[in-house]
Amino acid sequence: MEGEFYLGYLTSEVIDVNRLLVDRQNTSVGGTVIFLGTVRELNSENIKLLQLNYEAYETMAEEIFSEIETEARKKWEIEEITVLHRIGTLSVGEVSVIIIVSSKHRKEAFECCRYIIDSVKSRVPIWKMEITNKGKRWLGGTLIPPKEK
Amino acid sequence: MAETGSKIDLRLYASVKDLLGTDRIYLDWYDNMSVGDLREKLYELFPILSVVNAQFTISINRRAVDDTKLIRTTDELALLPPISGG
Repeated sequence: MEGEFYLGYLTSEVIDVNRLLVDRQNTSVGGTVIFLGTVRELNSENIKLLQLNYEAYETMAEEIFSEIETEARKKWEIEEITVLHRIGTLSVGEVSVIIIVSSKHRKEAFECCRYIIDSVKSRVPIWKMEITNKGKRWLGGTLIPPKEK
Repeated sequence: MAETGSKIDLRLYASVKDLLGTDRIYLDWYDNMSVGDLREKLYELFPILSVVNAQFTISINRRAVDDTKLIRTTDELALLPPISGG
């Protein structure tokens, strides 16, 4: 990846949670649910992580994120949705993904936020490489199911 | 119809990219070539894919498709190993 860029749902810059929340203050909503994905210190084998490197098929990822947001807006009455996923190299503790959902009532916001993160993890072409003292490896995950014949 | 000698252009990502040592592969195209045909060709050209039992979805124009889908030379093709975002 060359240089820093911001397309829409993907960013190579540090996710500024406070700024995102301030930018979207909205007095018509009664509930805001925030999901933060962060880089864990230990991997699944309890080995200390040095870094995570996220790679995306960027143009496809942007399209799928947009599709997921559209689906979510059809399923629930939502005022605002913000989804932002980091790509590039992240250190332990950094935010890799943020999902903020605001609605008049909390129930819709919780359900919608859950739907979005689950969909992101099963459908958006993003991969992470784990870097430890023992080496590097791509983490296995979910095979994207075919959408059409 | 595309001319004889047309190529298809495949983008590779993550583990599949590292396994084959490139982020781009160009292959000969032929009439009625399906995604399943492409998958077989890849396993034939790159035996390492079978050795490590590499799993991947193929996308056409940024949509994940199944093996029956036919490929056109103008399609944007990609090999997508299991994803791990979030």
